[in-house]
Amino acid sequence: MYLKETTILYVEDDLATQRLIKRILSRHCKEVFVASDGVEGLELYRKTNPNIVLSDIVMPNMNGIDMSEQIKKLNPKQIISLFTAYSEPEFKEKAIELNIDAYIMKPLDEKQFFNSLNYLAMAFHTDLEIEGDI
Amino acid sequence: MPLKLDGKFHIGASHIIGSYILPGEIIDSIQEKVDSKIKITIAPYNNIVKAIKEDKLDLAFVEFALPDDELTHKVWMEDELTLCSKMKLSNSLTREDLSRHRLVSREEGSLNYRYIENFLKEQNINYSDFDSISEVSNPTAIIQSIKWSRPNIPVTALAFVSRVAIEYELKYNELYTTTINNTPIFKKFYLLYKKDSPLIDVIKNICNELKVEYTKR
Repeated sequence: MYLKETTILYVEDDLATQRLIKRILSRHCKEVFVASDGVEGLELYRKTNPNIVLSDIVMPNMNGIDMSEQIKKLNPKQIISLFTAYSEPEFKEKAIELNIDAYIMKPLDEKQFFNSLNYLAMAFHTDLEIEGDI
Repeated sequence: MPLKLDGKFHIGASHIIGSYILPGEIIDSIQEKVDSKIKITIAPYNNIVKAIKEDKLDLAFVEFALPDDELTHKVWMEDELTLCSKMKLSNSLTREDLSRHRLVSREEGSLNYRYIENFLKEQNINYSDFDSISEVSNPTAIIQSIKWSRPNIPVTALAFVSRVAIEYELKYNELYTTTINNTPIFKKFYLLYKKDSPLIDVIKNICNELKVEYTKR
């Protein structure tokens, strides 16, 4: 229900992965916008104002962390999730600083992918507070 | 037919339930029952109980059930707590083995800490049987601490974590599980609400549906 009402900006430079994930997202989400690097992603973000941003980290022109930083400057509450592998620990500190909402692990696992997507959709459509004052 | 509420429907949840169990079908089915925006707060059990009593939360999903005349705790689901590590260990550890392991746990005095303490007692084990203990404040920090621990050092880090929180890591061999004395640990999840809540009919309706859904699985 929540996922069906959610718009997503998906940023990925690997075209085969991009096609696969786009196909899956299109089946389950309201609308999917696709970009191939951080520069294109940021431009599309400004135009489309998606509910959720999903992005790879290592990409040409602008990586996913730098793009997320720019997006958070435009909208500090923007929900962002990054695809990550354990071979990318150098980005961990910056990602924590940016308060990234969730990480989708690589290699991609369908169950984990949908768990994360559902969590992000829930975070967008409800007023979600973690360790907040009640 | 969803019931139109005046304001938001307030839900409280433990960290594990709010992050891994509610998203998807469960939160969708609750939303179908209430024609209002839902607010979810992820917080520790004691804070949730206080907020339920003060009518600041309408319904909660929690991992403990301390008796209280004002409140109803209904058993909802069962979870498995697993003992996990970065390095593959034998299927079962004995008391003697624990001196070679550091335990990453929740804070001393917390309900989680006491829950594990009771389990260990049943196995004739104490926290002091571990080489050392490091305390962290939430389940995510526990999992991260194990994931980023160095696997090939003499003292291996261990932690009790919910199986649902590490399904991916187990599937891709990024974490491994073991037991103490071959004994699995099962823990119940509960639905929690105030007996005289102003929204009691809606709450009971949701609880009935969630319990039916669960027993179907």
